[in-house]
Amino acid sequence: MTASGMKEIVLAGNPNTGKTTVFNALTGLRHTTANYPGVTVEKRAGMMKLKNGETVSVIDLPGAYSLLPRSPDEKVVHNVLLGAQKGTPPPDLVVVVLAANNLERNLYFGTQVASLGLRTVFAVNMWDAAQEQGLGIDLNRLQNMTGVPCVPTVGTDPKGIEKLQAAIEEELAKPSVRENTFDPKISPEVRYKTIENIVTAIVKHPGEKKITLSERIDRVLTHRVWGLLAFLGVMTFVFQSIFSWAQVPMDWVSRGIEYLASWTRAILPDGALESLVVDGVIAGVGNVVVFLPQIMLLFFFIAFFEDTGYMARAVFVLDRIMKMVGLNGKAFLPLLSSFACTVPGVLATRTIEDRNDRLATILVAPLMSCSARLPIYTLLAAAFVPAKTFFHVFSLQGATLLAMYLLSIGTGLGMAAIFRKTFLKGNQVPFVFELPPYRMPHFGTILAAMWDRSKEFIVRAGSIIFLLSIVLWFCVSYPKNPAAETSFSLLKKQAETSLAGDALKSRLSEIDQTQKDFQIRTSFAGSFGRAIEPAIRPLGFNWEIGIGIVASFAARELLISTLAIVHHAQSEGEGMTASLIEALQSAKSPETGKPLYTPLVAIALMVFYVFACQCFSTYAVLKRETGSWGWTFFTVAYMTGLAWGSAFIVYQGGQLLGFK
Amino acid sequence: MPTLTPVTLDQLLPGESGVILGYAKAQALHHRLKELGLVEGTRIKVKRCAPLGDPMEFVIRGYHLSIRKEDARCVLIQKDEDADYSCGRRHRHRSGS
Repeated sequence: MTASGMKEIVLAGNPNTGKTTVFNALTGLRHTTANYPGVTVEKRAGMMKLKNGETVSVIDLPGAYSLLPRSPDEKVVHNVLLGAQKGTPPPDLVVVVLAANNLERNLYFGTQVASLGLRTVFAVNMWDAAQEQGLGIDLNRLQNMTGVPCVPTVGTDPKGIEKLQAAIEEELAKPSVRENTFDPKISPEVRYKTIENIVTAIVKHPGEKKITLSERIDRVLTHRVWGLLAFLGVMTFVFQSIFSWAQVPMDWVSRGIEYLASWTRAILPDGALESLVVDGVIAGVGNVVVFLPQIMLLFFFIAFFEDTGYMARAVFVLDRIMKMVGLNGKAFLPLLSSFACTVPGVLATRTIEDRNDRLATILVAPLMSCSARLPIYTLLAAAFVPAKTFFHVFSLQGATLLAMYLLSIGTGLGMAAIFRKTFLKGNQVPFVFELPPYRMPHFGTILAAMWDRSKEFIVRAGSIIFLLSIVLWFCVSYPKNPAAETSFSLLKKQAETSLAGDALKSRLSEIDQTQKDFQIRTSFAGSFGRAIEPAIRPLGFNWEIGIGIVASFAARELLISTLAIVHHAQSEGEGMTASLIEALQSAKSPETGKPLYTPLVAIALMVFYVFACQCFSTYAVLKRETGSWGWTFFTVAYMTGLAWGSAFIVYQGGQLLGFK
Repeated sequence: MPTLTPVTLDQLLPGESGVILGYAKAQALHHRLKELGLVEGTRIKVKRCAPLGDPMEFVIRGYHLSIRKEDARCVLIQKDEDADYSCGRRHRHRSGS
């Protein structure tokens, strides 16, 4: 029983049994997701009202194939069912969700759980699928042979769910007197013998085997040619929608944030508080929230592929390629997701059971060029790569962009191979996975999964970014120089008395720019940018870039706004990029009179941004998903090393070869 | 004349089936395969190979399971005689069954 006196019910079962759909149907849409303490296994909990008015707590356990744990997920299942999980009371009742069309293997785990002596109910789910296959299942007999009440269910269909609730209520009313006869030493051979006896007695197979629709679909989707083409098509579609269609809602969000910022500016009095809220909190959190449409779309696709069964096929098709770098097919989707944003990418590695496989995937996910890097490539390429085209199709700027992406993919996979060959060698779990029959997607389940994960992204990324935005804002805005501020306001007053109309406006904005520039140069961030100049000088970077790099730690795009401020680019709406490009092209070093930015510096800077792990949200998610600061520091360190080293090679090597 | 020499699971071609005899070498990893139903005396059928040749898809106990060839190599099989005798896995796989 829980601390509040509520009875505790847990849902357990193999993966691909529709367990989560049953959970959603039992508890309605109100449920919470959190992690079990100390591990990155998701705990989904909700509440259910029984007919007799009693409210009980329901927990959806992760999928498991056996009570003898092999993965962190199964460890949690084992611990919860044996009452050994910290913070989770021993369950009063277990509902084991079994797939009706796959009873034999499902009963392996089912009979293990039934022998624990807990009150148990079997929900024989996907009853419809079994009937379509012509399977006749005698549930009364199953009940007699196992001593466990059995209820047929069909996903969210209320008839089955009501019966299940009634069975739960009935069982809860009984005293739990059975003893725990679970013997981990019973070999799979012996247990399967027992199950075979049960299944032969209760399941009637149809005389002739029909070729199922699922099999027909598989003949295409796992075909040697069509399967690969279909996979490429699907991934192109996903990529296309994330990078181009998501732009529309992303623009709405960013306009909404701008509106919020100007509205806040209007109602708050000028001064430090206004600056903190607008430039610190709204800008910082806004930079993360902007990615929400992309991330929600991505999570939608992931949930959709999982629910329909396509995910397993994608893993099947891709495994051979991922194996070349020591990863497995399940690493593909997390890495693809990382092109939108590292945070959901790292979260998506949870489907990988093997610790070493998973860790290697997490460690290289931040190398995948996330969408926050894209504006930097675009800006620098537009400013410094000649707008030439080859054969009227391939533009040199486009090729530069593509090169950055290829560099990121190549290095990421290469690093994965290195990690898997050195300190992340070997596997604890053989890479086996089930290819479940295709199913019609259940959009309620998909949307719930999408919302759960997106919510987690907002809360996790949002809370850390909220705090760090304040810190960063402080570093950029302080220390204040009262003398300089007085002289700036004096200048403004002078302008106001001597000028009028448009001339006044332009003079005022000029003074504003100079003031911003002065402020950022003398700020903590500015001093820090200057302080690290010796370290980045060999890469061809000046201290202005240094400030940008420091600011990038909150969000990479801040490089652009920082450069815009220090180089006096007009920061008004659409004109910003054009005027910034002009400002960058014309910036000269005060000492030598040579251009500050050359194509070579631009390329070195782009390469630096491909590799550098400058993202607080990434640190937070790395810490959370690896469970250690050690791996987090390691990732940041190796990526920074890569960034510095490659930018060094590009810049110094380029100079040796005579490039500018 | 039935073949008495066992073959390994990865040597079966799509459409072929056999009965599991055991495991080539004892490894902790194999316990999971057993728990998934690959125990002695179980009939297993090759459904297909992935487009790039690996992993393989099997039908066992009425469900579809994918195993990499390197893991399938450890499973010893008594091949069913109804299918053509295969000369080994170097043979190009026909897709489908």
